[in-house]
Amino acid sequence: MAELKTDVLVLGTGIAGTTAASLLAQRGLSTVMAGPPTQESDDYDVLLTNSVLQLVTSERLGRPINALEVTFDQTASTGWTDAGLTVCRMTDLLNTAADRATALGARRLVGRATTNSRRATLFHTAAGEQTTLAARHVIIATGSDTGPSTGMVCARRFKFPGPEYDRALLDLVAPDETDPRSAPLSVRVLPAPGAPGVISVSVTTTAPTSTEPGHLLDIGLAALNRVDERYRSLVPAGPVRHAALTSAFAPTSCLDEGQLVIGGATGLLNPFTGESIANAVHSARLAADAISHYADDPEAAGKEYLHAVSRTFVGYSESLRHAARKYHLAWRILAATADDDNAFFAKGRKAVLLPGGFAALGGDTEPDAPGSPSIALAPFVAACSEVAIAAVREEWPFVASIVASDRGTASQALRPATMFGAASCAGGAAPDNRWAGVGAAIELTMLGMLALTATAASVHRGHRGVDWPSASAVLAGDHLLAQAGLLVAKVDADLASPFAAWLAELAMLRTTQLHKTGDPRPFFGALFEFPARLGAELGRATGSTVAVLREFGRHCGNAFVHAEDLLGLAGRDSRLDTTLDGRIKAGFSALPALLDQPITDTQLRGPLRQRATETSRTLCLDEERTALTLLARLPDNTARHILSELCTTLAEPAHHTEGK
Amino acid sequence: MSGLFARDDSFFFEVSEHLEQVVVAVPEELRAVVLTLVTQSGKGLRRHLVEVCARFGRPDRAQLVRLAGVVELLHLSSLLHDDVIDRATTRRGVPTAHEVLGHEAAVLAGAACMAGAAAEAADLGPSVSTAFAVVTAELARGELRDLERSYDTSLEIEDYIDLVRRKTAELFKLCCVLGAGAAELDHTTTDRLATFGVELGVAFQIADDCLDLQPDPGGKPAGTDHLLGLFGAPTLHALRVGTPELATLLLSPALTVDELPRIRTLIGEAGGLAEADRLAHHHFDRAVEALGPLAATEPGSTLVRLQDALWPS
Repeated sequence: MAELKTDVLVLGTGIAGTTAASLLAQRGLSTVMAGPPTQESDDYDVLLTNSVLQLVTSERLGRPINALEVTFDQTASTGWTDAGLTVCRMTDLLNTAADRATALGARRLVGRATTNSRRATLFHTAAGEQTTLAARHVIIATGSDTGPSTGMVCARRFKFPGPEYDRALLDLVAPDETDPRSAPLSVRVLPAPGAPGVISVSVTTTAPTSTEPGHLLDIGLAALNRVDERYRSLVPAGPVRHAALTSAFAPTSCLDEGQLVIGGATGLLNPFTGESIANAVHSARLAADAISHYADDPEAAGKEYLHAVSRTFVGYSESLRHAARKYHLAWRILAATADDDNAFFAKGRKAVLLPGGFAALGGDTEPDAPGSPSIALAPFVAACSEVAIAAVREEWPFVASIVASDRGTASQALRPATMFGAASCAGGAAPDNRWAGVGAAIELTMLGMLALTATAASVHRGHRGVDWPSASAVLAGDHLLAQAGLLVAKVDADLASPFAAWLAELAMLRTTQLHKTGDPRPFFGALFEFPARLGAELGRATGSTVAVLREFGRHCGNAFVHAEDLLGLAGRDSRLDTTLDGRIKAGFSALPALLDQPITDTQLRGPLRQRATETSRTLCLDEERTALTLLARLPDNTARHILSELCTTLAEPAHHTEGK
Repeated sequence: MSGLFARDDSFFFEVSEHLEQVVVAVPEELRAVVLTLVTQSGKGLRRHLVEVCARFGRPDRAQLVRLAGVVELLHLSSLLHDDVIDRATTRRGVPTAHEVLGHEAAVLAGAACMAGAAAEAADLGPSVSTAFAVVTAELARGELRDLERSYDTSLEIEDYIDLVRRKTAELFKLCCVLGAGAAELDHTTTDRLATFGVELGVAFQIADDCLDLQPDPGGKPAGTDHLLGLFGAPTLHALRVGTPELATLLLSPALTVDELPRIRTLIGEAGGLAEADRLAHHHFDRAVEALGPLAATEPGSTLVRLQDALWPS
């Protein structure tokens, strides 16, 4: 029997396996990927973000999609344009990815592998030959149909009787009100790449089902009919494809006796969208990072991967007993807030519904330019994320998704944990890892305040029942604040007092804003001042340094408000993920106070808009200048460099000159 | 909750006075509404528990008042937020905070009370502060479970008890633990009182579920939680053993207050009230059982007499 030795063995040649093999081979590790050949059943259409596509292949594949529309049965709809999406044939994607891996030096074995123990995997070719594979690292990427089945996806192509389909539609079928345990169901419609006049419909359920695939498809089509009558007369244009799914994700299952489990085999599936490719590719990347980081130490690589997975992904079936209820709650919140432009809900919507949203690629893995000073803090900030997500993931995956995705939307330089960690260096020592719990508590409190201040009474729609938007925002806020309190108590009970005082101050300032001044800057100033102060105090900085950092934090908060206004005025994406009108309505914009009149985005035209922009820019630059001047007084270089990067990143919109 | 218990009136008023001092931490614009809640905060069962549990030792009176204040502030905070969540328009006949102040202001008032309670707890030392943090987190979990289970007509009674334990009983437990702490009681006694608090809290909530279904002499419709899709112990039992008509009614999107009398009848016919009453007594018995030898003491017998508060004769 032949024996083959390699650094890394990747079992499985699906999208996760081939991506991992490519990345590892690219980094100079000898890599073998073993699995069956591409099959006919792989011929279905998938939707993925362009950043995910770029990780898989450098070729131009598939067909770009401009808009993603999301409907909640007939009750509500929402969507995104310019979401940067592409629809591909899975077979094309797999073949290109495999070619790329081989071109980079990964060796591909076609056949079937059985693992006896970690270092001795037996490989059978189609011809019946056997090879023993010995590898230092093993990656399991055997797909979602190998785990315990907790659901099913089925797909089919149809001729579409309308004008050429140029968008992606996601219909989230309403949970059955008479059965709180009814299965989640989502239906997706994509234009078939390379086939004009043809659409691809896929139906996903993430609950165990005994339904025939064809019947599941019919249920999905019936749901589509309720949204749009054109789906009534669809003529099939291909066979029914179906696959079993597992959505039973738990971070701990990603390490199986030292082997790194990635892709569909982890159960990482978004039950709202049926989407799994972004997570598959992202998990492959995390595994490749961990292995190349600890090439000689498989145990350390496994641990590193487990940490990375824990702070990156949130599943919806982590506590299976209540999974259906948690799904229903999230569905109700999403449906009830589909047209709500409030930051908390906008972030939640994006995190849960946008493909790859809650594992936003690009954002967190390549956050900052090489040489960015905040990279020194990366391990600390990552630890803060891990603690923050762990605090909410099991009870409230919807909220955990926001926490996880927020890491991707802003570069690390803008994170409150970065502010806190950098300020703690001001006394001359690196942040104590024990303080990750404090950094996490700061971030959870901020998100909690965002939820609590976001609550407006919904227009009573005349029906009975819970006011989902305000009920969920209040409960999420309370939950986040309580978890923050618990983290603080665990790290150091002495910190409970400053945290309580911070919360009281925020409530006070926000009340004054609402009842008197209309100016949000003191509130945001206090939001940013606290992490700077507490960091400095914990890092044993001198009294004068603490005073400097408190001022610095306040100016950063003010700069943040003006920067948000500038982004809104320029029609750019906001860091709070809301529109200018949304922020004005929520009282997060300084413009009504600055212009001394109630105002909306559309009313801001011509000279008025110009004045608003000029005023905001001048104020933002002033705040930045003052903050940077303050930093010059800091004795510690690390703190100074990281905080000045934070400040300039915050004020970046003021340096960006094009207007709308 | 009606019914009487042998409360220490002077302690009751000392706590009220203290609360009036503490709420200066609440923003001025919101203070009046919070003070209204303080002055009409019912019979003071929670502060009574703190005081009685401390009678097993020799507590410092001033500290005991502050500890009771922590519990009451936390309770106020959850009342303010609950009224927003439940869309309640009145509480004890007075318009709710969000009706008076507006939505966000009422939410901020709740947050300010929470902050005030946390600050007091921190000032009273690490053990108080940690116990407070743990209970706050349990309360938030309980509220989440409560929202998650809305419209669930087949909620298992064990899950319901679990929810009640977090949402209501943890706060009762905190009262007992803080009282015990102020009296510097030993572990065994503190554990007994903690269990007493939890079981009493569960019994209290289920008795309250039953009370909620009694026609109100003031004309307030009984059982309005049903409109929110929130079903208590009597309803859950009736759903399990009674006619399917009940579930159909409860899940109907067109359900209004007009159907509530019919719902009450169905629950009664299915024996829901009797079964819930039995369950509440069962938990109260467990509470007394947890006291063990303490039940025979003076403060112990005061705790046992709380039965009259739950089930006024």
